Amino acid sequence: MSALQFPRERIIGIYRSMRLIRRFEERLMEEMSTGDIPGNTHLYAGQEASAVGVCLALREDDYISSTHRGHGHSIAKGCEIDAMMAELFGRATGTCAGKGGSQHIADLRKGMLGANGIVAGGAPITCGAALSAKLRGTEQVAVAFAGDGAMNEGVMAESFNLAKIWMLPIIFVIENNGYGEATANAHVSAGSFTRRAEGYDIPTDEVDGTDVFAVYEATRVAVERARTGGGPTLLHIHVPRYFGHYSGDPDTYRSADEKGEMRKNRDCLRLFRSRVEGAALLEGADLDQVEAEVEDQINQAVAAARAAPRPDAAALHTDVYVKYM
Amino acid sequence: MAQKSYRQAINEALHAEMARDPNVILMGEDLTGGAGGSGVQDAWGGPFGVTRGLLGAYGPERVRDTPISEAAFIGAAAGAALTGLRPVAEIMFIDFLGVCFDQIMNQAAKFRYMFGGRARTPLVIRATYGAGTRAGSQHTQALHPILTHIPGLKVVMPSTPYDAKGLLIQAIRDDDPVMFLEHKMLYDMVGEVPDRSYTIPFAEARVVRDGKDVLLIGLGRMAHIAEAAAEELARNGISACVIDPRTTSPLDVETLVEFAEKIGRVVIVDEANPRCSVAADISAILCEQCFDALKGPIRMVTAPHTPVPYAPNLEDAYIPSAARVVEAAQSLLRTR
Amino acid sequence: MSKIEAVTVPKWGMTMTEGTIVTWLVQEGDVISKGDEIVEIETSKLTNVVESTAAGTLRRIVLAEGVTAPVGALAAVVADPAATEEELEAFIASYASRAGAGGEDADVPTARKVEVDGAAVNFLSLGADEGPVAILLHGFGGDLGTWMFNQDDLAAELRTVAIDLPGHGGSAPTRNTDAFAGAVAAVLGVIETLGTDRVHLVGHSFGGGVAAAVARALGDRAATVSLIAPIGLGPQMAGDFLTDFIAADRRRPLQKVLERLVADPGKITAEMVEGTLSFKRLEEVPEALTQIAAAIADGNRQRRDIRGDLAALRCPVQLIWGAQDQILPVPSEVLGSARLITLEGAGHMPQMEASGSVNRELLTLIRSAG
Repeated sequence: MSALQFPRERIIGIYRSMRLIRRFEERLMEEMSTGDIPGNTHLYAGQEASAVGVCLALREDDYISSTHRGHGHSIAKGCEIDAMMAELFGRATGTCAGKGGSQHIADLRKGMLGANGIVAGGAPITCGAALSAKLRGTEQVAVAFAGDGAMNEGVMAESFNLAKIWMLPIIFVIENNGYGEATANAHVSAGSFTRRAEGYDIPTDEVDGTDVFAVYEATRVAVERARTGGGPTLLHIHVPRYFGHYSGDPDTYRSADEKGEMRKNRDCLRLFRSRVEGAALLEGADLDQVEAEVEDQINQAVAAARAAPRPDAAALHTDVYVKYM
Repeated sequence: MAQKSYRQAINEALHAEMARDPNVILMGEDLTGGAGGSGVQDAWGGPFGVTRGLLGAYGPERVRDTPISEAAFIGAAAGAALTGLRPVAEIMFIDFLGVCFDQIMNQAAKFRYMFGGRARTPLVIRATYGAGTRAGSQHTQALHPILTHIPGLKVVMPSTPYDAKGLLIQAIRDDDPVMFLEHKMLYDMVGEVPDRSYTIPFAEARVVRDGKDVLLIGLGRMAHIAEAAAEELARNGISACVIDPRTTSPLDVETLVEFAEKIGRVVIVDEANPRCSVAADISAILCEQCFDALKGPIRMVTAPHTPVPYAPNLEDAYIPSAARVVEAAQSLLRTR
Repeated sequence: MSKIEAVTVPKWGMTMTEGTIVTWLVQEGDVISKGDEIVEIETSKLTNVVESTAAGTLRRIVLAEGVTAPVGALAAVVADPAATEEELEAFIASYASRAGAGGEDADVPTARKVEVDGAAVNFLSLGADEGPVAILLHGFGGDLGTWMFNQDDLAAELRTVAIDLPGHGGSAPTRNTDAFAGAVAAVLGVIETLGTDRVHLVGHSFGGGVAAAVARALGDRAATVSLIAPIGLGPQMAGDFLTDFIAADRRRPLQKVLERLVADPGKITAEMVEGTLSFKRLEEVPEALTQIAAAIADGNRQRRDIRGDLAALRCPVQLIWGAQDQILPVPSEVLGSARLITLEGAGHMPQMEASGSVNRELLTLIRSAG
């Protein structure tokens, strides 16, 4: 496992990213109950190893697109916590100046092309980013994150085909958390996701999404393929979803047994800790320190977001166009 | 000045902008026609021959024949626009909007706003529209009202070869998503088109002809129907002014109000269905902004609230005619 | 049989194919004389007044206001009171069969181009094929169409050549960094291709300045010089006209700018505005115009003084000015032997607004010089 040979600082960084996502989402869940965060949000908790493992294999200028469950991808790609938190609070200092919200966090400077409120909406856009990179000769790659639910949208099939015939530098990362909203994936999905891609001669890999190192390794292979003109790859990453579909979801369609087993045995953070401690790469104290620092970071982000101004009323009308009249 | 067809004018604009800016690429179905086949390459030069010759000039990387996957390639065009290219994508018939609307309505149109002003999407989507080709209900619609309704999109409907070239160059250089709607029945229309490049700003209505008794506002191909009606009215001693708004979003409200106020009688001619249409929209705007200057009700001459029929006699009845415009104008003058 | 005469839709300029009756200035039954203004007709460029070529009673208006008809169409009938209704009907009927015969088969003159210093110069020749030539030079932002109401009248008597100055109409921008010198060189270049030793120069505004310099360069070959509201005869001008003209990229602001050119703003048609916009939108045109504007004025101060050129001329010189000129004021004094003609009811474009008078003055001077 090559990632295990990372220098110590990098391994600490991996944990920091995963921990940051977990605590960001848990804190959001708490803050939702204060009523200070408008609307609802889809939480990424449980799936951290996927976003962090994938983005670990990317360059800073590579592209990703995300889903309605996009906080983890944004954080893993380097979006600023303060700006994201402010965005969720609907503040002018947010990633999108308070005009996007949870489902539209984007930061083009970081290669983050946007979360997306439309299931599978990001797949063709990411094909376009990959085409752009290819035509401009930049050797950037593009990653389209999508959930298991997206696999039943027609545009996914169109995107696979387009990516393959144009040999685009793209990786489709299908994060399968077992449920599309409140419906079990097994109930609505025929056949196999990897075989669907293989039908387009797109190479695939089944990946354990609780193992950040496994995700990294699978992505590394796919990125190398994409950067060297080998075209698209599909990674089918199996992940747990800690919370319900959205923050207010009572999540009664999953049994207590299923949820208990998931948290006990498929927690990527706990698995990471035992893995690196077992391999004597880090000591528990190192990770404890990371956790304390993350806690401070989250506290600061929430406090700053609360203190930040709401968008000026005039912002309602701005930025519809670069220039209209 | 050189006489060129609407088709040539569009081709010339694409040529000029591809030569000027290497980031301009084209994608669409059968843009060349013949790709991968055993026969002639660039066999069609586009479904209507509009893109002929561009493959030879700029190569297959920049002139891309796509699969019949509108959602994928329109989305890809939006993504490419978001990341540094200036794509011109083609929807063969605007009716196919149905299978790719998410990428236009929810994605390209909203990137900039949703992302807090931190995105640019310099995307042009060309599409043919309009009835008159005996092609039935799914290859003939005029859907500019649906597009005009959506904030973030610009909607352009050139009615002449001159306008087609200048507005398309403007659209390609524009930093926002632009829907560029070409009426199929206009492709062979010939008019003066300068060889040199030029741009026509959006929201700049064209005063097709001045007049003082009645104002005829004609959108896209309907500008010609309005003009024909104005000629007929003139033979009856009625002086009609004809205005072609050129773009429905942004709309040149100033000019429409200026002439509506000056003339007082307004007929709006639009090939789209009447409900929630651009014609209804212009009518509402004029009522709000210059009601006191109006000498009678605003009349709309539009398609009926039906799909486009196939049988030639029915399709002909569906399309607004000069005779209907004349009748509407005369009825307004009778109510003076 | 009584004398019955036709009032027809005139042909103003080479591109005019039809005209629209805007307003009848006389009514059926009115007695009119030759030269009376009888009807306003709108063309693709401008609304202009038709002066009657007939005398008598306006018996019948054939084309109602608002009607568009081809060049040569019968617009009205003038006859003496003795003419019977039957005679009038017969005349109108006979005209209907003639309509279209003249307009369609007539040779449509086309402009030609020559290369001068590597740049194409576009010009339109009308009239005689050889002999003395009248050179017509338009002003800033115009083109040879400026002479649409004049060139035909002059061409009836002599060879005429209307030139698009560099950066205007169909002519390429000059490669000369001095826009004025480039324009002079372009005109001299065209004249050299004509093979004539007698040149009558007619220039408007900026083209008037060019005409004066060209005349001086031609020496004895310059036969007469007629300058219509030329630059260079006073210290001041409305310099903002130049910058506003360049800046106006839409109909509404340009309409306002163009209205400053004429005494009667109603004369500026929508088509004229659209035509001017079509020119201004062309690639490289704004840059070329900016260069020329800089050669004309610095703010409201004129940069050129053509008095030296005029003083050096040995041929007759006349100045024609619209009394209501808002761009270049009528000069308070005229140097030397030059004659100043001021036309009431005209602004900066008397050759359009008072074309009949201007044509008479131009031809009078040209004839006098032989």
